[in-house]
Amino acid sequence: MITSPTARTAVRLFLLCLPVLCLWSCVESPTGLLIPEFRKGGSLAHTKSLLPEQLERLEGVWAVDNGRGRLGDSVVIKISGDRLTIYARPNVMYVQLESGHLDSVVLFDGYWREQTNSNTGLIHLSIDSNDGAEYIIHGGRQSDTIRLSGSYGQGQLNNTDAIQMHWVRAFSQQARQPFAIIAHRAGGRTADLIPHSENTVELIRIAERFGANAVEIDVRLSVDNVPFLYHDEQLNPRLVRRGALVGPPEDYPIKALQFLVTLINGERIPTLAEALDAIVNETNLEFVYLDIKTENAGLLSRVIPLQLKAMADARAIPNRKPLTLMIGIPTQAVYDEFIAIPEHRSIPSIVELSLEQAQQASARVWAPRWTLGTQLAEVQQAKASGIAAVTWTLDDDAFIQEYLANGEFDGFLTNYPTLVTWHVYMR
Amino acid sequence: MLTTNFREAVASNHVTAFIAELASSLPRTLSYATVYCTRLCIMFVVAYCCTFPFNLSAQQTAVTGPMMYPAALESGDTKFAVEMALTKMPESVVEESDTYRWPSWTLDGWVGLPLDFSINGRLTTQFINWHLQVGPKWRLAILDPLTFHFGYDVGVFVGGLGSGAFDNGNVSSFVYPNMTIGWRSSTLAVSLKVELNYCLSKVDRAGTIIVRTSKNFPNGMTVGLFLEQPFWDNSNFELGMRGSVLKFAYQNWLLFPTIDRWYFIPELMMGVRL
Repeated sequence: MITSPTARTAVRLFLLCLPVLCLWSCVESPTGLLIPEFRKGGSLAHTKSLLPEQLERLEGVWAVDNGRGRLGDSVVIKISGDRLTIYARPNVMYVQLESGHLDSVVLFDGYWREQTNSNTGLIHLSIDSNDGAEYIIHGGRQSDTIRLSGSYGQGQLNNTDAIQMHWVRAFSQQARQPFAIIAHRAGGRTADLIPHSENTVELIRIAERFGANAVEIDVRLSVDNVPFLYHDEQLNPRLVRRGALVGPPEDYPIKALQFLVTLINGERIPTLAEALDAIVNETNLEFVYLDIKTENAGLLSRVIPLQLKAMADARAIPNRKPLTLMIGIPTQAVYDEFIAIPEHRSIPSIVELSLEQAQQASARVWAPRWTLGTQLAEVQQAKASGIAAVTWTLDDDAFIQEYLANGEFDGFLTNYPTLVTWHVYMR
Repeated sequence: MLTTNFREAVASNHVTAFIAELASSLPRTLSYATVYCTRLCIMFVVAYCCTFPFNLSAQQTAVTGPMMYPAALESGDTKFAVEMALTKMPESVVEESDTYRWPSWTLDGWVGLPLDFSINGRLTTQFINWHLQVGPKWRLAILDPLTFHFGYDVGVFVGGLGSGAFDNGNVSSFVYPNMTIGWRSSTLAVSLKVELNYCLSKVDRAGTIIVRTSKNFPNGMTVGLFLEQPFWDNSNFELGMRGSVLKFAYQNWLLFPTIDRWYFIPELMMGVRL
């Protein structure tokens, strides 16, 4: 036995630390992030909102004159959903702006965010009458110089760092080609400190603000046969606040899940029907990737009617962009269940398995994992057989650039749709 | 028909049915709670059992040639140890992937040099990950029984996975300035090691695409506390806890491109000097 009293004490202390370490390492704290807001409407309180056609005059590639440390050399400005978004490359930074004009000055208020860390803050920009505001408000001959200037700060602080940029060019023809920017889990992982938890209606509503024109959502089936959105196999601290329920969410009825489970940022678990309703009626998203996360028999038979109904509902809305919902097939078991459906060839699907299986299932899209490389030959083969190809889940800046330059994918599934948007529109 | 919202349930007088439905979940909830409690108990028992060498060491009287403790090593002398480390990766990185929770195995070796210098090398593997760390150490023993090691290691990481849906590789290089403070009695050596981590280069491959990202960045630090006790036949048993705050933990190399943030990564280590 240990004879020295000091040594014995040290061992006891060490033993005391071990279970504490074990317990500590079992959990992670919730990862909410407070997005700052201007109080009392900021500078836009008494302005007239800019119309979409006025905002379109701002779209393009801009050069950064002041603030390169934060924004990089060039940014992309684009209407994204109901906001004007500035897309920058360093630290996956983006700026979301609301706009208005007062006499001959255009004003913008919003927030900036770096997605690879927790930095965020307020930003205020403007275009003066001498810097192109007349052209933005009234149109006509394009102004020689359009210059945005203003300031940003950390958190609720305003006006601490100056920022200035000028318009360089419109988007190229290549950038305007159709390309699916698919927001993973409706906008990113909860761990990415996005404004809402992953796989929620709240996040779906703002997915377009990140540049996404499509979303991927994860579908499971409750014990009372209601499809709902949730990624993990367990109700765990990564996604939900401490509550009464533990274990697989599929073991509970939907009402228990919705009443007793609170997601990290305070939302409730949505049903698939609620999510599709938001997609159809509150967004202009063009493509939804319904990732079937469970191999419960019967899930597909409940998802497919909702899929077809949502597409029909979208078609009935005037001026809405066409919407395609695809059944995501990630495993052999889901694949087997899908091809057993007699009319499966007419049901839009996206197959993550081999290209041959995608062809056999008459899938619209083949979706290999990005870790296999650009797979140029297979992608070209897929396109030759009328199947589009997207890859998942591509988040690395350098790989996004390489895959766009050297690959032929029709879209990327990503946690950083703002970064993919920057790369796509800089082309 | 039940409503999904409690207020709606109250308003529509379906409270009883609603509560009955929730109550039906109770046995399942309790069963999972039991499973979780059992897991915690098992973890505690495992942690407690890790101390068995302290009981086995009854026949030994002194720690000889400890590995972590900054012990004197004659020029030309060598010593080796095998270690196993269990690492708890951040949930937000690995999510539910158990693949990244394998234990890592390390071969630790020392060669004595003149003037209280020595060379320490550590080869760590998880089979798809290989990390070699080598560097000189200088021992300072002016405050005996407190002794110090000052070292400057270089590390190379090589990772590769070419099966299933993966065709990936990574080669990275690091430097690790480090310092160890050690205290020992006749039967116990306690060491505290602080190691800075600076990533010099990082090359990733996916299929035929190779990217050399400019990941020349301060990568964080590691603090470890180690106990060494006599084991049998002049060997020692070491037990350690290590906490790292890192951006790029090489064990996560496959997942690193997706999250570029600081994380706390705890490790439990056990080793035997050969």
